[in-house]
Amino acid sequence: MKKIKLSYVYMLALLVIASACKKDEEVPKGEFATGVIVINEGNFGDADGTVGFYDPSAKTATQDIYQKVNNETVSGTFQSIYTFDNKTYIIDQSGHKIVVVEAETFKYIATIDEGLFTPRYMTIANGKGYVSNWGDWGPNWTLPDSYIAVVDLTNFNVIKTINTDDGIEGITTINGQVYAAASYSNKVQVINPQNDAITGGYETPYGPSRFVEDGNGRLWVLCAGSLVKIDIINEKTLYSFEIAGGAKSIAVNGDGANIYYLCTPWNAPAQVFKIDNSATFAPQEALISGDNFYGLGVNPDDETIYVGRNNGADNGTIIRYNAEGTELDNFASGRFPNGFEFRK
Amino acid sequence: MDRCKNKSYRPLLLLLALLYVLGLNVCFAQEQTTQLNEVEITATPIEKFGVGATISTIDSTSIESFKQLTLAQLLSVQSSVYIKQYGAGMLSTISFRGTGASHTSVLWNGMQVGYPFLGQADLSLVPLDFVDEISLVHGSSSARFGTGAIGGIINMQSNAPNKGIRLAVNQSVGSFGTTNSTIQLSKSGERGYLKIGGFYKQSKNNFPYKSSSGKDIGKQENANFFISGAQLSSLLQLTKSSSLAFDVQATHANRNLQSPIGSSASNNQVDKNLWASLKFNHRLKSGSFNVQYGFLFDEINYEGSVTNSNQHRLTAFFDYDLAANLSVEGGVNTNIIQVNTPFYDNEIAQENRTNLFASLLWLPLNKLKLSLNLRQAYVTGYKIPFTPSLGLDFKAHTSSTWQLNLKGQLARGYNVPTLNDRFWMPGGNLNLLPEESVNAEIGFDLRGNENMPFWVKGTTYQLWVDNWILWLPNGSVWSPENKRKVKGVGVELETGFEKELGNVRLKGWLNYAYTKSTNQEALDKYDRTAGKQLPYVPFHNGNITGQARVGKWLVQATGVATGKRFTTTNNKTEVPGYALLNIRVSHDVNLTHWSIQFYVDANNVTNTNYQSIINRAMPGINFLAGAKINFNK
Repeated sequence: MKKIKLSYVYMLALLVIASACKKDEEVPKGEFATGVIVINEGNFGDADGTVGFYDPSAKTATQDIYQKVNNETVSGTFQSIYTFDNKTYIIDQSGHKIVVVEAETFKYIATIDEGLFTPRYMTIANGKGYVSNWGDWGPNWTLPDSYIAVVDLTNFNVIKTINTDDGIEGITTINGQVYAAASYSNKVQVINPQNDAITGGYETPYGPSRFVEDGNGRLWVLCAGSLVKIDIINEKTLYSFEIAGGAKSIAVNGDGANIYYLCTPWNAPAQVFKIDNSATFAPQEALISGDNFYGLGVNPDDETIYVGRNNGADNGTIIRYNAEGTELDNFASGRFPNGFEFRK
Repeated sequence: MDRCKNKSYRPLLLLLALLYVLGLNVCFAQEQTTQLNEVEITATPIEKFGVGATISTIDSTSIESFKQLTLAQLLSVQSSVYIKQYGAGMLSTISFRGTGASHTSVLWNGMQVGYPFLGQADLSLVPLDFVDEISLVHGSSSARFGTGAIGGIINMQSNAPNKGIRLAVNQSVGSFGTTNSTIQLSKSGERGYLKIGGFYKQSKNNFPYKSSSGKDIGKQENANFFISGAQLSSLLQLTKSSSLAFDVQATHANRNLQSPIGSSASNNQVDKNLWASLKFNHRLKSGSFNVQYGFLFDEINYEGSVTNSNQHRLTAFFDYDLAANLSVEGGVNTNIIQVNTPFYDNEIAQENRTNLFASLLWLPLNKLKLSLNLRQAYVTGYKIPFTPSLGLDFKAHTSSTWQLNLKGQLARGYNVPTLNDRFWMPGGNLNLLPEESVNAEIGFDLRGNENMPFWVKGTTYQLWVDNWILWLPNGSVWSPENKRKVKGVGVELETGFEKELGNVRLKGWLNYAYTKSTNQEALDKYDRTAGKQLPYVPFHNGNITGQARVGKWLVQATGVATGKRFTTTNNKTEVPGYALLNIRVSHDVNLTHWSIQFYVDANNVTNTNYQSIINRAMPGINFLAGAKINFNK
């Protein structure tokens, strides 16, 4: 059974995409208002996901801040978190729930546990929450029942579901439109939050999973083995770069000039690449390479690169690098650190 | 839901049983007049060449009382080893002397049982209905027990049934929709015995549970299970000096796997196990010759994905007393393992393991016993270290009132990688080395005589494990590697007494283990685990039992205390320690040929909220009541 569990971990390792990089305009007040939030997915089967906090000026790390504040663990497997309007949404894919806390204090507010099935990522548009859900597994590891749950943020109820293509994953809001990547297909889907209808989409290579928007308003889509640059104004795909396999995570620097992505190819060291937003070909040389990289984030303030590393199935380590890829230092994290949120 | 599509072994089993019963009855019919001194049942007892090793036995009255429990349940309250339980009735593995789940060998009829593709047994699925004795050999002892004997071994043994015809029925009903039913029938005479039995245990397992901080969450869902099985144990005395013993046990378990707190997955697992042993024993003038054939079929069907194994075992050995103070044993054992699983290339893998072993017991002085055990194993595809062990036992004091023995042992152990470790696709590593250990220990055994029955046994040990296998990510593929070095240091203590006060018979005993088992090397510069305690190894673990018998009444109370356990090797997260109290009251009614025992168990009477594994809820206070009916003529 140990091996069966490992196969899940392995599958997750393949499928999980990390890094939540928000440009948060909040005016900070609480204990966790300024600094770096570390999302630790937890070990599948142990439901021991945690959220950690790192203060880059004092260089101190605090583990499991939810437990410290609320004297209770969430008990879940955290795919991602999303912060908006001084609320942080902790997305627990194994518990099929979202725990809502005050962003700056991490005080518990509410739990959304109806209408979600393997929730993955969240965005907010037109005052409503949009949560990508894998739905239940179909035969032969397919995800035919994927959907987006629309959440009323006043009472935290799921008010509507939108059926999508398979394995709906990364989700983001740009210019009032919702973009969602169907990772078990070759489609990015566009949703109009006025009527919650799918209004269009883009064909990509197989396995689109996460997005960033660059400084010129272009949408970058990370796919399983490709990186796609889309002009969303003229609805045109500009470039489709072939990249190393096992693409996991994508991040962008403060002014949107540099895009970073993490690849974990089959049976080879993990690699972080850096590409500038005007590039016409993908870099061949990795900026950073190493073992067991699980999550990636870039601090928009100073372009410090944060790499989440799982030490086997044990608690992880966050390694910090400067924008040139020189290692700065490291600090301890929880198990399977898969992403970051930078707060200023 | 039974989605199993494997070949059914049941008709074969029934046929075998039927043939055997017929054969035995024919033999019973031919009443022999030859009076045999005693029936030679087992091979060499564990203690004989185990001089110097720490061997503990589970209290036999507790085994008798709690036969409807599983091995996991009994060991978790009656031994100082730590049992990791992934929920109530769920996967249970063992940590012996601070080692991992695959570092303890579980023996049934002298054969290692468990899943060869996982390298471990699920102790929640090992029934005790046919078990009369359980002994634990602490520490490495691969010289005597082969692969897996790094942290220790657990040996289960059945005894010959009572003479004559015996019928035993045991029925109990408990909290959370739990029922246990057992029926056993035996016939025993001078020509041998036959014992057959069946059991069915089930539970809705819908116990109310709380979060780690004590907040009520609701009732456990999707954790119901049943385990059913049939057993046969028999012996046929062929001649004055030779016998044939046949034992078989078939179990079938269907469990909805309890998910972690906060998760709502519902996964189903069906386990099927068929263990059979045919033993021939021939007694010589001062020794014996033994041949055993074993067949083991083990299957896990997890959500429709089926993995199973067939094992054929053949063992031949002799033991011989060369002189009054010198005994030897030697033999050969071979095991052919075949695993069928969709997770391997070609969906199949096979491995042959052959062992040569020899033992020597020498008493150079009246007060001194020395033992030397040697084993060399040969396994398809890689080299196994030569594993010797050397033990001594010195009788330091004997008087009319008490006796003190001093003991010591130096032993090696090894553990062959599992077939999953080697053949899993992707990630299986054919270049793995066996895990290796060295164990050194000294101890004492102090006991009073019959008029003042008490005992105190203490051991301190050091255990080094090298080439410990960890599954680690290599790119996006997880792969097993010989990565870890572990050093264990510990103390084990067992003490107890018996006393009669008027018509009250008192008995009490205590088991305790202090275990410090630390990782010796960081994997790399980012790993903060060097020098840290291994996960799920409690520093302190123990239990205490008090028993009072007054006439036909028996009251037994057991307290269990387990210290905090880290959930990760960098020791940043832990599950808190806990203490539990279980109480049993029973009353016997004896009639001619008949006896009935009524019993009531109250478990976790303090309603403690605890977890064995992080986020796996365990039940609060719960009850079980039952009756055992025995007929013996």
